[in-house]
Amino acid sequence: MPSVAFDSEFINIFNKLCEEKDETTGQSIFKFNWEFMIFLAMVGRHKKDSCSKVDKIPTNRRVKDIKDVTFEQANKVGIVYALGIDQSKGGDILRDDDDNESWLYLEKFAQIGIEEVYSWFVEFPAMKPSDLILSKIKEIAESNISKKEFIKPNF
Amino acid sequence: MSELIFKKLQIKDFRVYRGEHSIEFSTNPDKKLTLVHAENSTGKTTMLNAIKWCLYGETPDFEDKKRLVNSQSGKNTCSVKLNFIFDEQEYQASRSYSQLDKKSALNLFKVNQYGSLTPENEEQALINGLLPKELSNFFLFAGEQFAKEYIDKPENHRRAIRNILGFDLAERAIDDLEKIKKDNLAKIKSLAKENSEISAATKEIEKFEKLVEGLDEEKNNTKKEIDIQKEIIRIAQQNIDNSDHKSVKKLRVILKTQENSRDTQKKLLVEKLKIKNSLIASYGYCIFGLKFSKSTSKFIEEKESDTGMPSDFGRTFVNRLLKNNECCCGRPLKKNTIEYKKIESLIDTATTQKVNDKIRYAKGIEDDFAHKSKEFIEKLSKIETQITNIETAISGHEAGIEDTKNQLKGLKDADITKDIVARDNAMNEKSKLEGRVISIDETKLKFKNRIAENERTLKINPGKNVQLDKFQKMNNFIDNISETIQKQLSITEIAAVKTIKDNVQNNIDKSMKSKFHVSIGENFQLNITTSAGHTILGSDGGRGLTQLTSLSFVTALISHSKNRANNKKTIFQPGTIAPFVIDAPFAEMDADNQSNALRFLLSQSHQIILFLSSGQWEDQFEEVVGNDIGKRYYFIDHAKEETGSTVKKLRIKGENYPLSDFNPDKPATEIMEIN
Repeated sequence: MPSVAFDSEFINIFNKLCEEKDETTGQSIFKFNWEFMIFLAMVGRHKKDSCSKVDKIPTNRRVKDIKDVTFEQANKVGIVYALGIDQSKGGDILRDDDDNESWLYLEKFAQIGIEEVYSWFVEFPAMKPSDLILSKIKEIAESNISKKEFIKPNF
Repeated sequence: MSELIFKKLQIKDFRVYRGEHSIEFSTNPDKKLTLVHAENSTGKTTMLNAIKWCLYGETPDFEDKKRLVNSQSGKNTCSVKLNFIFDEQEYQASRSYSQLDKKSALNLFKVNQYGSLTPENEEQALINGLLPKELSNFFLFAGEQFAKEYIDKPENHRRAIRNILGFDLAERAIDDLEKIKKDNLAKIKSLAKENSEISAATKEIEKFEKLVEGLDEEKNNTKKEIDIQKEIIRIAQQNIDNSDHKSVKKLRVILKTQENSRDTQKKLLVEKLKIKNSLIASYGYCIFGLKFSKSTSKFIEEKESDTGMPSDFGRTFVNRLLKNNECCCGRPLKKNTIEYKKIESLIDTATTQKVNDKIRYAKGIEDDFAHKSKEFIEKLSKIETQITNIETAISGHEAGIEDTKNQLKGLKDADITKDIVARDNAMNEKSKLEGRVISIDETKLKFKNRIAENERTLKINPGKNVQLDKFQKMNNFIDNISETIQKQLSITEIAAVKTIKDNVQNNIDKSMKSKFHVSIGENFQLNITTSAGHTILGSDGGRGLTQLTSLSFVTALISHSKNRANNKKTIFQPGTIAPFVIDAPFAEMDADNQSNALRFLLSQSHQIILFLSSGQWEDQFEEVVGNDIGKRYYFIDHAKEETGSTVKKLRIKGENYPLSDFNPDKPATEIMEIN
């Protein structure tokens, strides 16, 4: 049964976004670890087309393991298979019953993603984490929308 | 009843009055009102206090004798002279004060028809005889002070009120008779020693008299303790009344409402912030992954249309061909033939249902990720606008809260709880002590009954001694007289209270739109209640009403005494009635009440002197009292630096009288008569 994990090198980022509670809302930015993993993977995939140069997380640095079944229950396995097809440039990768390769891609893109998020915090150290991430999402969202579709916000 | 009439007041270098000033009061019984109009701080109250100082050597509001002499006069002495008429004889009381030896001296003269002065001995005793100091508080007072003192210390007024009612003489007669009776009893005891039965009774009487004396002492001590508790209650209540606790309570309710509104907004803000934060997890991965989802989906579609994904034939199809030994073209497939092996090799590359499902999931993300960017921006924009509005509302509430807190800081709210506890404890203690007094009285009554029993024994066994019999009869006679006087006092007091109450009620009914119920309690304490039964006292009930009622009470009391004095059969001898000299009589009343108070003051007094600020005088009062004004004055303030249009004017019957005229060379206050 495959699982994915975070690199302990970035445990501070993990804690900041998944563990620390906001003093006003009393909640962390990501309620579930799998949510953060998916977010990071998509940030990573947005940043880079390939994860071939990313090393596998050494066993002694693997923390906060998440089992594949968690993603299945959250209906997020489609992203994992898509990453597999995307990176292997074909569907044969899906023949593996355990989809080990696909899960590895998810983890590696999450690695790229967490490095990217880390760079955001380095760039804007004084900004509230939630506001910083929302501003980054907004930036990408605006670029995703064509000028015709874009609705100017009220602020 | 004798009426005291004030004729003239002369003031020299006394307090604010530099140099010599004099004012004549109206002594005409048909025009008994003297009006003095003056602004605050120009010497109205000082003039009232000058009368008190002249008569008694002290005033309630300035005990600092260093300040008696006007500081700008350059003199070391000051004096006040008051001419008054009593029993058709004019007198002059003259008090002076020397700053050098710090002594004041009082002289009293008879004034003859040519103005010559003849000194009188025992000056202070004579003045006290004419108008006792404690009685003076009923005639010479500042309007607002009287009402307050009357409420705070009603018991202090009882003796003065009984004096006005003329009870003094009768009460002194009872005291004298008691002394005679006691002397007689001592003689009876001495004469009765030889008779054993009488001797035993006498001893019993002595024993119980001692016990009664002990109880009297205990009762007096208990009453002193009650007075202490009353003082504690008064001080605590005063602190509570002065503490602005009602305003504080009101502001606290406002503050609570403001804080609740702010907290509601804060809760809403938290909810909105939670929604805003949830956008990260809900939309972040879709927005960052949109390009990837599209490219992957496109890749799958191309692949499917090209070579299939991962192949364009299924494993079920291949297995069916092999099982049926027939190719899809209809040719037979025999085992171990080249065709059979070729078809069999396709099993490894054929697509399974599981793989198909995975591809379907992978393709599905495109639909999941599509349109999320627009949706995210709309939601983010909306929630941020809501958050801004909520934060603005919170700031508004915070500012309001700060403002209310500042208002609260400005109010006196210290130790209210402590004062309430102190008051309640003192009330409980007072109640216990009053219970103790009742218990003492009950025991005393029992002892007195025992004394009475023994006195009866003495009465039964006189005869043997003529002297004894004589003293016995005299004491019986004294008992009868005392009882008759006591009964008469009691009847008179009840009747007086009823008449005064009816008179005050009548005045209040005429003056007030709402219905109030007047009653007079123990110690002649005046109570006013609303129709709903709520007690109106001091600031709780409106000072105007309290002041009106107090004035009404005093005039009703004096009016009643005057009427009763005309009854020749009375055994009472009402004391002196003095003029009413009132400073700021209407300070707390509205214009309607002022008119009514003026009416009843005039109808029930023989001479009245009123000190009024210009703001307390209304044109409409001319119609009410115009015909009763015998003398009228106004004060010009020469120390006030006002000129031209800023000078405040007193307007009377269309004429304007300036109340200030800056001139440092003149005394600060100048008294001017209006003819």
